[in-house]
Amino acid sequence: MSAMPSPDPHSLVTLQKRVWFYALLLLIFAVAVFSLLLTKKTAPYTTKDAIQMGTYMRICLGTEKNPHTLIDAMIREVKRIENKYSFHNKENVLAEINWNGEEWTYVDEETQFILERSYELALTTKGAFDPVLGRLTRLWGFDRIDKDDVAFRVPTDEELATARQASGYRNLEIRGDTVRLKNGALLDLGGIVKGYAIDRCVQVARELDPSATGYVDIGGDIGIIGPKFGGADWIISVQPPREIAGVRQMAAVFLKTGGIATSGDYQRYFEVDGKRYHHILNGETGMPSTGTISVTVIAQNSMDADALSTAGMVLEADYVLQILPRLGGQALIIDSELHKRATDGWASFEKNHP
Amino acid sequence: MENNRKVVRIALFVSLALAVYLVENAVPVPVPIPGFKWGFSNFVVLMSLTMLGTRDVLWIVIFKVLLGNFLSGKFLSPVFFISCFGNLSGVLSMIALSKTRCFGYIGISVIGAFANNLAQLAVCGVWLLRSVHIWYFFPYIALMGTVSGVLNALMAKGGEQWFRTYRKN
Amino acid sequence: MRKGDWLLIGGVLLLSVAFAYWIPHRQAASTVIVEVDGREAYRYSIREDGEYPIRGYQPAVGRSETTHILHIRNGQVYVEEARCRDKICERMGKIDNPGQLIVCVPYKVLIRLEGDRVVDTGAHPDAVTR
Repeated sequence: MSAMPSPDPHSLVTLQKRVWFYALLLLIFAVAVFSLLLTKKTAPYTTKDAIQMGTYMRICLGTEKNPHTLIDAMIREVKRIENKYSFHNKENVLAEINWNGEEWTYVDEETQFILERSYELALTTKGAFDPVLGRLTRLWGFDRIDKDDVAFRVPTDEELATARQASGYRNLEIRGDTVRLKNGALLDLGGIVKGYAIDRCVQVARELDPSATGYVDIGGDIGIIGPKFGGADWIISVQPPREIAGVRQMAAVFLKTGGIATSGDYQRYFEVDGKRYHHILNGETGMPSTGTISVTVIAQNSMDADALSTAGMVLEADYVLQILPRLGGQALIIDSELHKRATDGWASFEKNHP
Repeated sequence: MENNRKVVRIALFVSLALAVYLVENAVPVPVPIPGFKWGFSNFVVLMSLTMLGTRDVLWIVIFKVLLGNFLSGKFLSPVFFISCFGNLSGVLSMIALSKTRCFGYIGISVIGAFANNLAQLAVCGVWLLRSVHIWYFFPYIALMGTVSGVLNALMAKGGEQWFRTYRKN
Repeated sequence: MRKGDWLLIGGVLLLSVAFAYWIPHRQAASTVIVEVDGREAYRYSIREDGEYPIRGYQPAVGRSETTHILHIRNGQVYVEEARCRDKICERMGKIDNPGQLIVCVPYKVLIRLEGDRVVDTGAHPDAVTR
């Protein structure tokens, strides 16, 4: 290498050149940084993670409006719904109905809608989904799952018998905008309110921006706001209910609209003497459901998907596969041997829809 | 007097680099990579590295990138940013390597081509396409960079010798 | 040539060989995956011939239009009718092996192939239902 000629630092010309040189360098740097920021801003999807309803929540949103305005509105809506319908809260509408018991309680339109739909679903699933199992849930201790002093226990037969007497959707009476519970039964909307919250989030997003796309995920139940990039499917994988070596998903589902929800015996449970007691209770026996260990349901909306997946856990697998399409759902059932069974319509969701 | 000569040289090098930059599009590339080029204009930069000061080399590269993209109508397009970052990191690494004085023409040229390609892939993968799979191109690009690096070094050597004899006459 | 030059060239070649091992090879392609802006947007079987519209990344979400037509024919994948100016993705020709790519920088589209082994263990889902 030959020696490089060093410029004369005292020359005015060199100084001027140096200024120009740095100015140009600065310009290039500025252009680069600016365009970097620009690409960040127009990124199509904003994701937001939060803890809501005692579980994690994720919103993935694509909008031309300010995504944070929409996301804040959605999270506020979830908070409102949780406060209003949580079984723990002693001062909400649910507590009022439960407290009034056989006295008629006036309820607002929203509550009336949820209760009517719950009752309908309970009726069509023959009580497999049941919003009036509050006594049983409390007996098992599944209502206190979020608290530190978790006190699960297996109830005695007498306790179960008494609680069963005071359970079941037939104890719920809805007459217009008034509601009452008979036989000291307790309303517990835990099996449907998460789905309702997701549906409301989707509605809120669409109200604020009709062209919004994305999805809302609360505790593994997912509602679609709109197709990915305005036209493509969202790919949702179904988690295996047990750890299986080398298997990351039971299925991959392609959704442009609607909702998907999974119920399983691995979500909330405790073990006594090696036996697993999970949180999805069969209203007839008062015991956790048996046979099926995981049900995933795709439906028109998340509320139905949520309730139907719960019902799918309780009902006989054959019966579920038969009845679910008639209720507007498609289901994937995994039994205790980890065998998969699905409704006829399910396969169409395992493909891309161009 | 000295200053005029330098300006003339910079102008000469820039126009030479530009000519190569625009013409090399016609040279076929044996790899299936979009927008990949041999980068033969780098030999001009390499030559100027030994014949001019560090700052002048940077000038040449900046002019090459800006004018080259202006002339091919790619200014401020994604391709422009790719070549911008690629050329800058290429020339910076070449300058750094030439300062160590442990490497000859070939080493400097190869690392320049390598850094150039690496930065292009990084801009592509991290910023533009946001996919790790873009690194599938890496082996091709590293190989091609080595080949074009060696060729550039040979050309630069020849060019420098030509300049030397030219100056004597 | 100096000693440093040889070392450098050796190092670069070694690095490229090491990288080449990381890239999937000697697999039969089974799935065509289209990523838009770094997210998986479409997925097709390579065994089913067809022509699929691809909506590339356009900042206005919700009003996206078709930017490319993806062709799958006889186990080969290629792109036609690209709406960008330079049409580099069309010139990339046909790909049929995992590890090969078709890339469209202006629309942030990356088309790649996956082999059987990878597909069995699962896609890259947007979300998980549990």
